[in-house]
Amino acid sequence: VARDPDADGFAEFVAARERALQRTARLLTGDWALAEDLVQTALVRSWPRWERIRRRDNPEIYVRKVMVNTWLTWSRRKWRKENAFASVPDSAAPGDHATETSIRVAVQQALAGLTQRQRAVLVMRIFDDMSEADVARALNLAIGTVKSTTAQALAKLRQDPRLTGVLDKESL
Amino acid sequence: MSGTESRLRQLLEEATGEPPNSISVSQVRRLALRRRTLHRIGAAFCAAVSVLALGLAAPLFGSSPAQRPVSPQHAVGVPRYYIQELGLGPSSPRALVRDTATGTVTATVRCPWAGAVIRGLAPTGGEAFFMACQRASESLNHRGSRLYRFRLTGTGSIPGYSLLPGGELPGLATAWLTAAADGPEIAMTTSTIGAAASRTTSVLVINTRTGAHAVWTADSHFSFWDFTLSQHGSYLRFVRTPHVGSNVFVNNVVAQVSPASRGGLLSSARALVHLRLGPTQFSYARISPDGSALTIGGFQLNFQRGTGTMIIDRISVASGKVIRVLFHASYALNPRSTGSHRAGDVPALGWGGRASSDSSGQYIIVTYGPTTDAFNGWLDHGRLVPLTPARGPFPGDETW
Repeated sequence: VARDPDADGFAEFVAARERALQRTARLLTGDWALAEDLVQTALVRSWPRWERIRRRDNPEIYVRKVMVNTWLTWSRRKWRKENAFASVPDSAAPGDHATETSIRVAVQQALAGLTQRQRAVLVMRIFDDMSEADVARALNLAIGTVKSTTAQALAKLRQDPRLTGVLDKESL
Repeated sequence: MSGTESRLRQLLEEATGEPPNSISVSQVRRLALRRRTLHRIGAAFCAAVSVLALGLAAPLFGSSPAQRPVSPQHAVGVPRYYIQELGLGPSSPRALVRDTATGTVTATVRCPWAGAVIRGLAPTGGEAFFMACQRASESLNHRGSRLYRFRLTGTGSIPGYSLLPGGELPGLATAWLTAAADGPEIAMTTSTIGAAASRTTSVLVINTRTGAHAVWTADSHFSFWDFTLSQHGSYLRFVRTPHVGSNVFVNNVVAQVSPASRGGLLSSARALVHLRLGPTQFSYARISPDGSALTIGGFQLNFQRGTGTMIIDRISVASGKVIRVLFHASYALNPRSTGSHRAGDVPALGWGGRASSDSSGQYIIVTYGPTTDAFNGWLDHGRLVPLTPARGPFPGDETW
């Protein structure tokens, strides 16, 4: 018999957090379609265990953990390494949006240049604003490893020529 | 959070934007239930296979090679998803991925090239497909076709499309896209977009790993369709029909060129079978791996009787005669249906029939009937199993 997802707060969780999860997934995968698929898969895998998950202090960490692990598994599969074309080069936005678009593309390309662990740590730590302890729990890493991986990822981004003058613009 | 981290967060926010779609809990619930069902079916299947394997194991010791079981790749099940193009005619703006069991739409196939329409889908096994997209822009610089590859996920969605090496075909229209099993090569007819006659000018074979092109130049006295590539590109087979008056359906010949990657003149093709079936509008032709039999799918018109018949027959390559009827279904034609027609012109008739198969040739999808109320199903050992939706307006091409 199918459980009622509304009874235990799963529906509320999905409604409240699916867009945030999709944005994180978008940064991991670089593609909206794949991000949607990734979040769906993570939620599908979490739902049967929701009763147990919701008793924890923050169920979202568990869902994010499932999501990142699923993404890492997908990334190891050869066919997933094909480039996804969400948009094609000849349909790039012209005119006033050119600068904004080029920065957006530069950020995405720079992120893609990080290792998978660096990308996952950076996205969870910086974009999702999770604490080092939560990131460590979600990724099964030591807190020290989270700190050093974050530092390595930031150093790599600072050295990326595509982000020259962009990343440190506000901090100077 | 340091200044750099704050700035990076701001950049990541800008780079991400808002998701185009929302995920609903009902969607998640449906996928979860399907996943659980598949797991149960999978477990039951594994148990059955284990029992069967134990039963077979003893007699297999010391048996001759001919008695050994077929390799696992031949033991594939019915494809979990099928793709249905929307809109009638040779091109579609989009296609739907449907769950074979329930008919639920799990994804939409769209050309990732702005302004382009789908001009062909070819399965390669493992739920992977090739797709031809065509843009017939008014600007000559932007006309042409592009070839993409995509794969369905376990939940039937499409994570992305990749442009094939050698898959940019400026100024060309494509048709009859086909792929070798596992996808090392694809083939299609090509013609110049906007040319006065839409007749095939050549057949293009592309190595999907290197992007190398091989061109087979067509003979203007014939039409070519229903291409089949062997798994390792050793041959390219097709149905060849002479242009004789308005009746283009007689004197069909299945011919072969080899190796497919060589290129040359199609007129040098070796005729394998002369099809003695009367006027037939073919939509499917596949030769068995041992080359002895040909399975054809087509639609026969009999204006004297006022009937149309969907046929799926197995034909002897040696004699060209039918050796086994796999499926026949007849309908009364719309009395207003007259005139000449060619393969793919189903909507103009008010009645039609079409067949296609998965990359193994084992599972054949059949669509036939009046254009307003066609029947949609697949053949399971001669029995027509309805797909969902089973009835409705004649769909565009289907594949799986």
